[in-house]
Amino acid sequence: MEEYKRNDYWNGLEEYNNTPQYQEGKSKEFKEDLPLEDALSEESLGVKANRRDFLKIFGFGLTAAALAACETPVKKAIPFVVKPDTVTPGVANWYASTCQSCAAGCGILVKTREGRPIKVEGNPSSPFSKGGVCATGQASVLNLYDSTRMQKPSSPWADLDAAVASAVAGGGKVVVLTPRINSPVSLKIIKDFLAQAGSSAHVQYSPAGIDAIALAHQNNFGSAVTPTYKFQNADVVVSFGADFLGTWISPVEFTKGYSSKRKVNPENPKMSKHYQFESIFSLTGSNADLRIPVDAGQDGAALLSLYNLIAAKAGQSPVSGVNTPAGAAEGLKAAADSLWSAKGHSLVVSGSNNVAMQEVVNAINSLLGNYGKTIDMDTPSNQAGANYGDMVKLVSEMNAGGVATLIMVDVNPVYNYHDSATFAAGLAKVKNVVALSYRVDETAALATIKAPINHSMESWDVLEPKKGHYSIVQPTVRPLFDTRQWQESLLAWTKDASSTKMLDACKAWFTSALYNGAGSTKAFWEKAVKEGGYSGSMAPMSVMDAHEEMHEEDAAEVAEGNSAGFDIAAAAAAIGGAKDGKAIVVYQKVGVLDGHHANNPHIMELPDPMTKVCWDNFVTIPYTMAKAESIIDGDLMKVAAGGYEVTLPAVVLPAQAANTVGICVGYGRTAGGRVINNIGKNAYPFAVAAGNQRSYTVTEGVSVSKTGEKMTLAKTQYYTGYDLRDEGGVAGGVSGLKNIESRIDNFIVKDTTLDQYKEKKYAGNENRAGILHENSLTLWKTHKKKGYHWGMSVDLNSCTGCSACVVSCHTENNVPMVGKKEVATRRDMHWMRIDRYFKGNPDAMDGSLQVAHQPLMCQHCDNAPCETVCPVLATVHSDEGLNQQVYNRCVGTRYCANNCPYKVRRFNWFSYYSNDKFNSDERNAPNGHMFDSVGSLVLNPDVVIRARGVMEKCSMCVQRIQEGKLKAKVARKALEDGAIKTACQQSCPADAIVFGDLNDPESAISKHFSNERFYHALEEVKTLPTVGYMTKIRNNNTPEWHKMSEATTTNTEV
Amino acid sequence: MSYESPIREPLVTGGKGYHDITEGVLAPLEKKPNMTWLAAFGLSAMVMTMGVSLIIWTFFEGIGAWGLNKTIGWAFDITNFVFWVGIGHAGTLISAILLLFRQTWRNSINRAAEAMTIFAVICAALFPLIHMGRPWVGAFWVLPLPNTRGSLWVNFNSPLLWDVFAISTYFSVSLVFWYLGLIPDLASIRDRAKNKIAKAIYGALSMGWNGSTRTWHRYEIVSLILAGLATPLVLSVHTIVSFDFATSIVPGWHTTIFPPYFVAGAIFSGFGMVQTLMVVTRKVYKLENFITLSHMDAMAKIVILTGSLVGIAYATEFFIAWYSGNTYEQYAFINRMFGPYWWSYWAMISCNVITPQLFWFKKVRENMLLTFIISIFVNIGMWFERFVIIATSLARDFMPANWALYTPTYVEVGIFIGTFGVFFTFFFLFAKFLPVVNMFEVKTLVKDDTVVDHGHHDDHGDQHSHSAEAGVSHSH
Repeated sequence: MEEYKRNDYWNGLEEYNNTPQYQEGKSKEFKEDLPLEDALSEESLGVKANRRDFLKIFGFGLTAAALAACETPVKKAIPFVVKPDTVTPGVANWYASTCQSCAAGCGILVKTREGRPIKVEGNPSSPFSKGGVCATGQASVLNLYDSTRMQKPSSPWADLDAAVASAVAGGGKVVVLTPRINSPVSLKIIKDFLAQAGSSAHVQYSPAGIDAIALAHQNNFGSAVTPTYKFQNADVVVSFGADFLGTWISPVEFTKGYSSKRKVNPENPKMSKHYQFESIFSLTGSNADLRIPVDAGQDGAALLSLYNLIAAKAGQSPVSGVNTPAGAAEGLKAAADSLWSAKGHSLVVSGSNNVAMQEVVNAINSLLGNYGKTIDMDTPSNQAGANYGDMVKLVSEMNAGGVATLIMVDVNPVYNYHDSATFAAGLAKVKNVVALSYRVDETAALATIKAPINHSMESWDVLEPKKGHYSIVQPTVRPLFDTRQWQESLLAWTKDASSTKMLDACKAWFTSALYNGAGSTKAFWEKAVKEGGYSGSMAPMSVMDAHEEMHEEDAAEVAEGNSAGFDIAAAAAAIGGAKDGKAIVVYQKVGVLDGHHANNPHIMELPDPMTKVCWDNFVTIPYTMAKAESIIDGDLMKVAAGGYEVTLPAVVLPAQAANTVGICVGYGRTAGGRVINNIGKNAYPFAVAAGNQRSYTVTEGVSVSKTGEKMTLAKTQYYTGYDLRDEGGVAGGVSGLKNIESRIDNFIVKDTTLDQYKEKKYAGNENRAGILHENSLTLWKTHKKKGYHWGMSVDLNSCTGCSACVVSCHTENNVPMVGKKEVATRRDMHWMRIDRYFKGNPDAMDGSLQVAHQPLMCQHCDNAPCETVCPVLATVHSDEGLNQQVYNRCVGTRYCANNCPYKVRRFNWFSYYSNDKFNSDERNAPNGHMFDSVGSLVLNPDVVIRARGVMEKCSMCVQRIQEGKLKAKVARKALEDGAIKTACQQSCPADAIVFGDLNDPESAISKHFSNERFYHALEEVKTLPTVGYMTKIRNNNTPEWHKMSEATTTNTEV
Repeated sequence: MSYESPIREPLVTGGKGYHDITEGVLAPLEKKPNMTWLAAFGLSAMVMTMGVSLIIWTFFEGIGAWGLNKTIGWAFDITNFVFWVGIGHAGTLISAILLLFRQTWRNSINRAAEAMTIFAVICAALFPLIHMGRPWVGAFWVLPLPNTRGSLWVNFNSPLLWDVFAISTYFSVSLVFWYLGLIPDLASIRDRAKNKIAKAIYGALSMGWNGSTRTWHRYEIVSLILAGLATPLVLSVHTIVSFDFATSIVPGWHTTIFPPYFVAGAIFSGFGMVQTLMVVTRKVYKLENFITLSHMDAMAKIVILTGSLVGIAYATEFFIAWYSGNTYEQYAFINRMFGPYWWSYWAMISCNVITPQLFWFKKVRENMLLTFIISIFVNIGMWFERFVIIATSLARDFMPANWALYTPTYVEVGIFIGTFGVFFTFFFLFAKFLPVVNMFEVKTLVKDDTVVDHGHHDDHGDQHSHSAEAGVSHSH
């Protein structure tokens, strides 16, 4: 009897004991002999059946055979044997969590369907973001399903853990390199882990962070904090290159605050004033009342000039030797006057990462009495970025051979450190390189031990984006792959960790540090998890304190050299004189940000709000330079500085400072994933460390030259209004241009100034009465809307063009991404787009150039031109006023799209989910997620994937409307106004979009429709849309006006 | 025999008798194809194969294989459709309207012109079918067929649906009319055929035509009725095609002048194409005595007339755009002249309005080389007219942010060229197997005294042949 292997399953004692009977039976397929002989015997084969039986059997056989030929559908749905309480098929679950796309830490709600996260929305109860999420956050859900993630550790977890343990035990300095950590729990875990090593350090590294603000506050006020900027309290905002609505520190929070001051109340019309002095054209600059282009080499001079102007008003002595940039003098004066008249409720910010500059900003804000009002130092923000000097120090230490073990957590310095060669050289001298990384990126590829980490939607954490405000990161799905949250890896590597589970660590920290004694600790924790965060009692040690502790030595150094207070002369000296030559500004683009999460087609195909370019980075060329050197969009430019050069296509922007070009970071990846690899060029090496800070401007030794070659750019909008030679060119010279400009002014984007609006509420909208009168005659039967009549309004005054709505729409509606080549063929599938129009002279340097952003989705016309022309009735009007597209019925004549004056209809030119073009590396796999079994989990099951050859368009989120109506019905209540929010509306950080029932006279949308500012785009075409716009109200944008108006400006109370 | 004014040029020259006509017209049918025909047919068939392959590729890949985009949803496809439909019009005009007006000069060219109509409509009908995203369902969903989808029906408001009816009616009436006219000639061929297979086929096709007076009588009545039915079609088909544009709201499309403008343009382009074909056919098949210089002269005059009508239509459009005060309309026309597609506009003007004016000179009208060249210009110009209307209007419509440009891909260009392959393949087959000149109608134009002698011409024909030939004399 052979020895039985105990680690196999056994089937009964016979098998276990391996009895002879069992052995005999095992060799036979059938235990007993089959009665074949009986069956085949003569009697049984003998025909006994009569004719009727024969016919019966024959008939049955025939039918059975025929039925067997019919194809039965194979249904693979497997029902729950025991249904989890929390999962109801078809019903979404929402989990409160925190967005980790950048350090801002906006509160989010993650929508899960059947256990998989499919959509990110803002958490309205989040104290700062208040329901908004930016484009990057909206897209982050797709990063979860990125099939090019590192899916398993480089060696089995047990081996890997042992390897790290022996590395740490091997002696020498252990360094943990992380991005900016806002989590007190994670900081504690790192600290506990490092405590095991003899010599150790925790270094934080933000490749595109802003650390100068904290250091300036250290110098001026003695505490290294980045304060909370309260744009909601600021009546006058002056920004020196800070793109606070797009990418700077906490754009969603700032947009919320800023837009609350830009909404015009008809009863008491007032609006904050916004001055922007910047070199490149930022999204924030496009929203400014007065935007004065100032070259990057002169922003210090401009800032000091403003200081002098304010100091003069405050009776302080000015700084000597300041040469005010010529073009900015008037604007600065106007800004100074406005600021002074709004003392205590104004705000000056600067995007510079130069400590001296930020000190001047602090001095101005201090003179204006803004501290404590619009600048809250008591609620320091942890959102700005880590101290770059630490990283510089680490790199030199590595090169000196002082680091034995380097554990890198989700950082990629080989790609984004300014001197990546030195970093890589240093890395080679580190004995043990451990990468805790989301993918095998440029840096992780060089590590000996690679441990995959979780997406934030698979992780637990407690963040503290601002002191005293805790935001919880909650997993919404089990890890998709064999990955481990990096904190859990560290816990596993900490010998005496009480638990290796992050949930335990979070719970333990949360209940011990924050528990306020009310209710049980369990209830306390669960309530916080449910709500997504907690604000109230303070932990004994905040993240801020922990960070300060890490920099104790530095702080002591600084304190010795510079006690609290302002030394403007020293700051001015540090800033130095204005530099005249060409300059490069390295900036972050909306969506892509620092590039960390950019391996995501939703981000890559998001048009840049200013240039409308997708899938590429480029060099923005000022219009004046373009004119002088005859550069047009797509000309390849060689940009060189400091021994580094890149060749990138030009994109010409009007009213950009004459000598400054801009290049955004995040591109030029070689191991960033198949979506982003080999697109664009890396701009990080331009941003070198100046002292301990990273400087995002290069003002010396810059050369910009044409190479003579061209490159195709993929844009979603070609019309610029100024470049008549380009593809968006206007025919007919000046008269043609006038025609187009008056068309935009009168029928597309209506705008006015606040002064005019104060005089008459319908200012800018004067022609509407006439249009309505002319439109009152009709031959058409009007549609009856008995129940609901859905309508939407977009306030052009609030809309900043941040593009969060665009990505939100795409993720909600499974909009296919088509890649650079197809976008360049003008076949983007965007259901929602934001049109950008410039107004004024493109070479104006006096701030007279203005910008309007106009979100456009299907206008759901009552007289829909698309509906009449469809031969097969594939697009029809619902009795709730929606223009519906019936995909199944569509035959794809495209007549509807031709006849749509708004051009919001999108045709499925290809089978985007099955044509391999859209999953090819050659095209950067624009729609790859629809091809693989993991990526397609992100698709919203409520919205069908459209087949090739059919037309699609905005449905006004009809699935959400249906859901809202059903919920109200189940609850036996009338549908509340605002209960249904479309995806674009929900995501809007500026609350610019209102949606609701026009049949309810009390609804917000009905009030918008009767507002004097309300109009429809192209109204005189009489399409009778149910989507409309509110006129854009601007403060007058000439410096003269700003000077004159000061006398009449009334200080408004905060 | 119809009355000929003594000073008028004879419509058939060379002193031909009935038998000469039969011999002359049927010579290409009854002989083995020559190398020229084989080469021309082979080339056409190759081009057709290429076009069909590219259509199959389009079905396989999607409309994305073309250069269209979110702003310009129609360009080459519908341009080609209107172009081919327009070409068809001359055939119907010649066969129907000129028949009703008793313009007997049409007798020698109507057969080829009608054949051209049918082949052109086949080419035209291809485009609405293949331009659809899902032709496999579109092909029958656009038909008002009873179905199981409840109240789901076609949209009678849509000009595209009107197109379906207009084109299908036009095609079927043209086909019946053409075939009816062929029957007496088919009978002649049957009677002369020596090959058994040919005899059987032509016999079947001629539907037992016996040339009796009763048959002729019925023939005349039916052809008059069909001419009456076809006549409004000449006007209606292109009117309805123009509705595809006129009833839309796209600036540059939304114009009430479109129906007459399109009809004039269609006749213009159709005669251009007839000229092109006739110049070649009469030369290759040595039919100079049947398709005489006076025929070519008459057609050239129609080309001047319709070309000038089209020119006036262009001018009117511009005037109305300015006069209407409609900013979109005004810009659409500025853009046509000076926008990114300016070259297509000026190509249209020079080919359609300027070049045909050369036909004012009789020397030009009688110079076949010049006629051929000008007719090619007309064809090109009329293609560009449709391209200008369709693509450039869409390229610059209401919202500047939507503006886009369009570049055709090789697939679209290939399909367009392929339709010429289709057209000429059919045309060469037609020229090989069917009489390109309507023999019995041409016979009405000549006076043949020998016909009295019954036995004289009967050396290779039989009783039927004789009666078929003699049958024409009933109109004496």
